[in-house]
Amino acid sequence: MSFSVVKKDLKVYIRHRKTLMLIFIAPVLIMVLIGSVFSGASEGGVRDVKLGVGGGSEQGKKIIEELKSSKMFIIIDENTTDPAVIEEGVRKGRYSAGIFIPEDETQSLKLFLDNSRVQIAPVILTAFVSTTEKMSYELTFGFISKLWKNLKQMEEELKPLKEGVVMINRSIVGLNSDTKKALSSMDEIDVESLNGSISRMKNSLGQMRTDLLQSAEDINATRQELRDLDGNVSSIQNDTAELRDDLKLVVDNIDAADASMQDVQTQLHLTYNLTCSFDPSIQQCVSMALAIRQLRDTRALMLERTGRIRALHNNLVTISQKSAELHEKLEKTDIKLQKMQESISNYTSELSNINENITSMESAVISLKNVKNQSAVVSSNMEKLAAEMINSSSALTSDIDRTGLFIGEVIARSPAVIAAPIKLDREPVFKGRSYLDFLMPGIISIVLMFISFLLASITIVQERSKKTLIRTLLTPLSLGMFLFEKTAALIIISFLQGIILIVVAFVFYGILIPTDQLASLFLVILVYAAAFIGIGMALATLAESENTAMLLTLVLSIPMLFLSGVFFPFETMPELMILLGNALPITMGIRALETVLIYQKGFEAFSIYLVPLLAYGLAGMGTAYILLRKEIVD
Amino acid sequence: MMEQIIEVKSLSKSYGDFTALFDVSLDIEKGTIFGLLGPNGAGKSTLIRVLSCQSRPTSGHAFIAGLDVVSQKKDVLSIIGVVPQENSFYDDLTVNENLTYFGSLYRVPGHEIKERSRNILSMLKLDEKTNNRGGTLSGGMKTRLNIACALVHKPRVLILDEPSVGLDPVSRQALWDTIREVNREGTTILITTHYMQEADALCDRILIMNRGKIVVEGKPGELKEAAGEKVLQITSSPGNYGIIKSSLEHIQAIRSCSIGETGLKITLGEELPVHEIFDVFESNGEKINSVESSSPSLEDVFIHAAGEAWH
Repeated sequence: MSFSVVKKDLKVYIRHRKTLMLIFIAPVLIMVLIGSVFSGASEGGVRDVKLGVGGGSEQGKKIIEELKSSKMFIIIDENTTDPAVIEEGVRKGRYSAGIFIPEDETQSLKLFLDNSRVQIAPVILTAFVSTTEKMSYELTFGFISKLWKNLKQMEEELKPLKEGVVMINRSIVGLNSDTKKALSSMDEIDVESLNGSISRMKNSLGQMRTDLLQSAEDINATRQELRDLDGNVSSIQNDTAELRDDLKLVVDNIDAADASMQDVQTQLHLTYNLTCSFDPSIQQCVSMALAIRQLRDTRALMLERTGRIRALHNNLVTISQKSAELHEKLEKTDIKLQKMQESISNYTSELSNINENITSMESAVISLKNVKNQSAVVSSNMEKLAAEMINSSSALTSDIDRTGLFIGEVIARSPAVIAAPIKLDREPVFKGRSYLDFLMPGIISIVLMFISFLLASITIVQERSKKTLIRTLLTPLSLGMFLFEKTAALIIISFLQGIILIVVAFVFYGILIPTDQLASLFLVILVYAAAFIGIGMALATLAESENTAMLLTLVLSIPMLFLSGVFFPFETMPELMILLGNALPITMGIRALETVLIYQKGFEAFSIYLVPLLAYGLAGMGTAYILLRKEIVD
Repeated sequence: MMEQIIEVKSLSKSYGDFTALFDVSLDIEKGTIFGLLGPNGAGKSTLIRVLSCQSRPTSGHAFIAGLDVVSQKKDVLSIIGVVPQENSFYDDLTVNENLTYFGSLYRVPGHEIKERSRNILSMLKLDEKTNNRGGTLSGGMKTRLNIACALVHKPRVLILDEPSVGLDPVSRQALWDTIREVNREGTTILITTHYMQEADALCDRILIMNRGKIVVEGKPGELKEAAGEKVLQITSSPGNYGIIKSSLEHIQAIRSCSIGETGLKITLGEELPVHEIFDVFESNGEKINSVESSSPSLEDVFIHAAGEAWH
């Protein structure tokens, strides 16, 4: 086998600029275009959607702020209170969606969606649903958190409340027994004897009062006598003072004379000492000594005589002091008597008061009788109340216990659980993979489908129209071998495209296909390309010209694109279309590539797609073989 | 005795009710140029298709170099070269590459292809265009390349199906030269044409077919001699040839009479009843403008053999 057709075809593809473009530039362009378009959607999602806003409330403002922060919307504020304005705005295409926020927060928000924009309408709706859900959650969470706090406080307050109830209960029991005691005590009171005692008290008081008044008068008389006595004492005191002063003067004079005599004595003594120290025997000295002695004696005599005067003086001083003391005592006695008078007056008024009180007591004793009767009624009521109270308080404490338990149970749950009872944690299983990673199977399938399909049909149509097919078959080369070699050439092209796509994926988008998956990837590419090459060849034998072939491939490939699940998910298709879509070779190729590139499963997993793909390829080539044979050989 | 390279025995081919070939037998000698003539629908192309293994005969046999075209198809295809009527090579490949490709299909070793290509291109005066792409060649060159592609494996028989259709006279002359050159190399050539002149100029032997049957076969000179006829070509005015034709057919010496583009063509036997013919023209009010006399052409041979005009 010389693979002449393979070599020739590859040479022709390379020579033919348009084909070359189709083979090598188209995959790059398609990949870059689709990749860029979808990466935009994956990175920022839908952006700059015009959103009309009307109405308004505090909550509404928060929602708008939330939406603004997502960069998905350009907010156009309509400043209107009429939802119809917003609806009209959407209807006229001024914006893709409009939201009307009623002032009354209990009313629902109104979202007007431009559902003619089929691709973005669900995205807008989802954005709104998640925003309102998020805000609802936040509001509910806040509210419940606050409620929880209050409940916790309440729970804490329940314990003292219970204790209070128990205490009240106890108090009531005590009160009941006290009431009973009071009642029995009341029974002990003899009202009649009380009355007798009171009247006796009244009489005694009257006597006391009379006695007190008499005492007051006696004191008055005593006071007058004392005042007279005090007058006498005062005059004695004055007289004594005068005499004392006179004696003082006499004593002072004597003392002065004594002092003069002492001076003389002192002078004489000095003179004597000066003159008579050497010879005291001289006359003068003897006279001087005599004079000194006389002086001394005189002074002693005088001192003796004046001693009595001095004693008298001193006695007078004592009498004066004693008189003053007596005067003071008399004054004090008078004051005491005065106070006694005042006390008696007070006692008298006090006795009047007591008298009044006793009168009150008389009426109180009468009331006491009534009270006794009423107390009996109160006591029986009190007993009933106590019994009831015991029952209800035990019910109340058990209620409090239950409430406490319930609150405990309730607040043990997190407010978050109540605000969002069912929480959903999104956990993407393919971590570190970009959106484009997931698009790779689709992109590779689309590119390979178009190129394999077109090239296969074009190459056969060209061979037919240029009559080179017939000429080739006028050589020993068989038709089967010819088709096989054609297929081989196209598979080589597909492999090259696969390599280009992998390189572009890496260079433009940084997607690196694991080396251990490369063998599987190329096996899938081989079988997938073979399937479309087979179908393309069959189409080419049916087509009369290149144009017809192109049209046929387009007519087939475009519906296949839409039914492949790349642009529209199977989940949105009617059942018949799903069946059809699943049976298409492009879908099988995408599934096989997904198994290899995304799920990274082994041969068994993707071989289930390879078998029908191979069948497609063989069926296509078989059809081409039969039709061409019929055309060439008759 | 010369070796027969092609032998056809009682060959018939039918498509449903339509019989394209009916009991055709012929032998072609090795090294000759054999012309297959006939009007459209005569069965030439069907015969060529059978001989080039594209069509299975309904009955009869055909052998090329002793090989059965049905049971030994692959062997037959490797010793014949078929030049289709339309140029069929790859415009995007160079002259050399085209030859290499077709050579490799015949499993000719690479070095042989190279050598053979050089010789062929030199012979066909394409040696200066070896690296030019097929699509860029002139019309004549394309025709020569078309032939060259069928020669690269050194076929024993070269079959050309109406090769001069659409060619200008100069190109046609060049084509003839090429065919003669190839033939000189020892290749037997089977050529179909409906140009009598081409067959006359090129072929050693010709076979004229009509309606699936062989009308006559032989060397061009022999056939014309056998026909032995003289032809008068008369133009007149106003030229009501229909009336004149019916009057002339009564004259015994006149074998046939046909209305052509250049007047009335009258085929005669040995006798030449010129006066009688002129009288007919005169009696019908026709004024004779010109009279040409010639020896029989292959067309005349055909008319003579088939008993009807070439159409």
